[in-house]
Amino acid sequence: MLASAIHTPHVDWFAMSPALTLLGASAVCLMAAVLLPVATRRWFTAWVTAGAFVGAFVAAALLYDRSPHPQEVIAGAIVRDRFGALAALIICGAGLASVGVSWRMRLRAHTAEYYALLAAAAGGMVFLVTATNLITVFLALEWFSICLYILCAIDVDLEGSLEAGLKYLVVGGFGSAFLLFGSALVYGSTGKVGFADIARATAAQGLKHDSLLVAGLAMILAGLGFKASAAPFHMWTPDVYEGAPTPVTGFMAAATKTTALVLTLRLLTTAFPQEKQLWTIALAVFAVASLAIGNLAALVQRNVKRMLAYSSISHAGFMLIPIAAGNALGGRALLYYLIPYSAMSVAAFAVVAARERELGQAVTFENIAGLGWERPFLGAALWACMLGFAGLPLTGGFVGKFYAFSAAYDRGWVWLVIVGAVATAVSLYYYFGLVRALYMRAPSAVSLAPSGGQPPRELALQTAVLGCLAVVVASFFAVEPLIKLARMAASSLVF
Amino acid sequence: MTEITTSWICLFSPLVAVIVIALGGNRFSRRAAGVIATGSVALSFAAAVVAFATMLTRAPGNRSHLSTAWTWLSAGNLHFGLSVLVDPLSVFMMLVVSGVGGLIVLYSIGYMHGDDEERRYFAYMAMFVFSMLLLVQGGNLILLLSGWGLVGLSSYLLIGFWHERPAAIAAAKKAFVMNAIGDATFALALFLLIAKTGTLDYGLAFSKAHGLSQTVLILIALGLLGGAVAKSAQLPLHTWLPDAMEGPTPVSALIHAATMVTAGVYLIARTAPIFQLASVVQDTAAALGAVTLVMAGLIALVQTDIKRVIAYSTMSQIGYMFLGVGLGAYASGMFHLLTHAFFKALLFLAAGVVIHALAGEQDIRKMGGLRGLMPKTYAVFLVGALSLAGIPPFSGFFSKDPIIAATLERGGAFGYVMFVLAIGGTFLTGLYTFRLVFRVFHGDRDRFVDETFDTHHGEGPLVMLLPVGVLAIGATLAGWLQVPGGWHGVSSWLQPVAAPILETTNTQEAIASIVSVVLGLAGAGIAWWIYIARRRPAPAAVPAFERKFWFDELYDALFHRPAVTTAKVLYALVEGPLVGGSMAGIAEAVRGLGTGTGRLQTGLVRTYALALAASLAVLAVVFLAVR
Repeated sequence: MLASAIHTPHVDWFAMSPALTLLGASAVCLMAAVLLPVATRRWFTAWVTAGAFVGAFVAAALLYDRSPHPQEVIAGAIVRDRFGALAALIICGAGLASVGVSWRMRLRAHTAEYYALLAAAAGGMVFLVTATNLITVFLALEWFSICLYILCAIDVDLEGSLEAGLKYLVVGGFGSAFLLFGSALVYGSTGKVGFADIARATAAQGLKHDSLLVAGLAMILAGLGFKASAAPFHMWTPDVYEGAPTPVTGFMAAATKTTALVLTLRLLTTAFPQEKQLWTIALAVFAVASLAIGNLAALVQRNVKRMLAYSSISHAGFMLIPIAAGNALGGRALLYYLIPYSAMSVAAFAVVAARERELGQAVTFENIAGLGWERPFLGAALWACMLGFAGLPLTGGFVGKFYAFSAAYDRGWVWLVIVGAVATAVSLYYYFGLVRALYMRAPSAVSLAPSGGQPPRELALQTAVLGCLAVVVASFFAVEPLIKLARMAASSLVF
Repeated sequence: MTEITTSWICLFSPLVAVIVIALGGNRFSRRAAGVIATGSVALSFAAAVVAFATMLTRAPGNRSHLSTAWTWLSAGNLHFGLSVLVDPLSVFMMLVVSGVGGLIVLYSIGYMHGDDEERRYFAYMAMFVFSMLLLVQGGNLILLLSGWGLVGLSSYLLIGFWHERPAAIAAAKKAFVMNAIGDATFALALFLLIAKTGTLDYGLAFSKAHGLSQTVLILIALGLLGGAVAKSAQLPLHTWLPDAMEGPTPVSALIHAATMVTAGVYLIARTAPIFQLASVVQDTAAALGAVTLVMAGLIALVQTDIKRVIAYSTMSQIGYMFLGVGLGAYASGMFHLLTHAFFKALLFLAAGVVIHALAGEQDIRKMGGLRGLMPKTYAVFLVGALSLAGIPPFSGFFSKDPIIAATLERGGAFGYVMFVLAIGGTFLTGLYTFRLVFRVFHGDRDRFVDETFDTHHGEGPLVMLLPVGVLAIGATLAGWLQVPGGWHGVSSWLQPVAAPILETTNTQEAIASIVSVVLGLAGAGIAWWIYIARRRPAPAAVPAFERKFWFDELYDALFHRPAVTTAKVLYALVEGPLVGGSMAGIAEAVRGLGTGTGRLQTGLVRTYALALAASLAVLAVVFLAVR
């Protein structure tokens, strides 16, 4: 081999193959933006990106299969394990569906750039979920965040898109700064950047409860909470989710949250086992705050995207519960929950996107009325997603909540289970409120697109929605197989 | 293919049809929806036949298989598998459900032709068949319960299919509520079973049941019996079945005669080990069946709606099945279930042909003399009637008499009381059946018939007459599967799963046969005497029969009115001032909080940055303080 002949360190390229596939696709799309005529760009770049997501998905599946034991890669920068591979599978699935949702998006001449950024963002996420040192974390976090800032602002014709991108950039700068500063404090205290090294150093040097270390942990928690849009670091979420182009919002709600939560679990359990008492309680408080703020604010929203944004805050709360439980069951519960949750998020925002394109304006509870009758498939899909978010049976959301609450119960935190149950009860109001609007409002108030006539058939979008729906329902019927996947993935971590 | 593969095909084929019809929407023609539904059920039947044939080649001890696709959910030590049980009992039921079901769905193509919502109808029908197959094939009690609930749902949807009729909606609700009572007791029994044995797998639960105390066993069996009684319309949860006749006639034939209402019989046979350990409850099942069969027979005497007569007759015949399985003669009960599926579906479908020809009229007082106009329908209806009345050589004779013989074998005061009720039932059956035949097909033609009967239209299209013909053949021949003193096709097939706890002798069989045939013929003779020979005028209806023994009134007075009164009082005293006030307050407060939370959301980046920084500061200070 050439590599061994010139004595470079051994690099497990296979471990990085999902991220590299997506990066490669991103580069091809950027080339296409320059070299291909406008007419063929959309067709070409969308297919390349979709292919890259499929390829990355397959690569992640192979990685999952062939990495029963965690192995360090590139001198401990990242790790090859089932935990990261399963997260990569979820991210790639969400990305693939997002490609379909984006097909008919209004992008002017930026189509190729859009797909390039989408693939690059997903690449960064897939890389981040395997990160095992603080430097890699920061690198990958910025890698996908910068892509997302631009994606949020890419639809220049959309009122609020640019604003959303700018807001996300400025506030996101804060979040990143917290994380970076926190990392610096932790390094200052322990002299290490690798997750496992930090834990070892803390144990060896008796640094438990060291003030630098604890302050660093607080800043890291704030940075991670920001990315997961957990309260009280959530305030950017409604504005950015509402302002960003809807397919981007769907991708962010699914993939960014998956990445942030998975990273939170890995970082905290691996690097800070000694401070478990602190971070489990802090996360429980975040969870309660997210559930309270997300659900209460969602009650009064009339704009569907904004309601879904608050719903995603409240789901950050639901998914922080198993992390806060800090046990193996919690790890399993989080990974399971992310599967139906990501599918529901992409599908729900996809339906909103379809309605938006029909109406040419923001979707509200008033103008979504009658969608269930006009577009039966999309209506039924949104209905199913609402049932899933509410955690009702026949959707994986039910089982996800069940396991999340089980984990808290195992930890002995019955109060957290009660808070979760109350939050679920409150959430029924706005989830069913949307279903009611879909089917039970008089459609007289609806004004279809000015051009009138039959809305265009969106085969790509509908296929994506159908795929997501299949995941939402199948995750209810295939609980044990998925839990088995999650169990094997979570066993890469030490609780 | 093994019987396991074919069982999975059998189960899922109708579900695929549901999905295809539902997703296809109006891309399919109405006729196509009917063909898809029929084809899927026919495929199920073919799969069931293959499974049956494969099992025949195996030794009787090697005919039970549990196939688990995967474990659905594990919680603690409790594991629920998605599994099918392939054994003689489930294959027996698969054949009945998909065979009779297929014929009835085929018939529906003709019967429902021209209805506004045919696609919805066929989707529901296929969903019912799937649910029923899940019920009989499910490999553990949780799947049985799922199927149990789903058939209840399908039944509700199909009774209320003509949703523009208030009576249909009311009947659907009544059926659902009555069944929900049974579902609840069934579920409670399963909870108790989980608490005491830690499993819902048939084999494991039955073997662990031996160690339970008598009280627990009685409670579990009572819960199961509650479910069975509600689903099978036996006393005291029977009042929904006659009202369910508001649904389309093929629905009555499939769900409310041939399959779903016999699920209770299947449940008792399937959970026989538990019932045998709680013999008090098993006797209760027999007694309820015996009382129901007489009571329903008496009510059937005075009904004037052709479908309601047959509905009460169904209750009565299921009473016989309950009597059979309650006495432990499982094969006899299941055999009667099989023959009943044929002749009762036949009677309903033939009645459907009559109703179809008379533009939806169901009142037998307006019929009469249809024999000349509808000779084929008359012939098949007569086959069904003779079978129902237990006249040899038709099938009802062979399947009813072993049950009556079993009461003799049981003996004792209990057995002889059951015997008297059962033979009383045969007399009533002969009487009400032939009253129906004579009122509808004999005598003078009513003016109404002349006005409405369309001679060009005739007796209906081939898709309707063909299934009826096949069912008539089945109703004639099915009895020969098991001949007393000759061969025992059904008993020996079911032997490995539900071995009978009593064996009747040939003498008992002979006594039962002679007595019941004589009484059946006597009943028919009296009907002839009154309605054909007109030797005496038809007796005035007994008020007790006419008012169905006041059960509706009783339940109204016992439950409905007190509930309404209590609700009104509670509404006036508690709901309005206390709950309403406080809920309005809470809702207002929550909305206020929501608005307040929204107000924090200024849209200004500096606010957000401040909130971030402040939150972090609090977090860091708290961390440093408590570390």
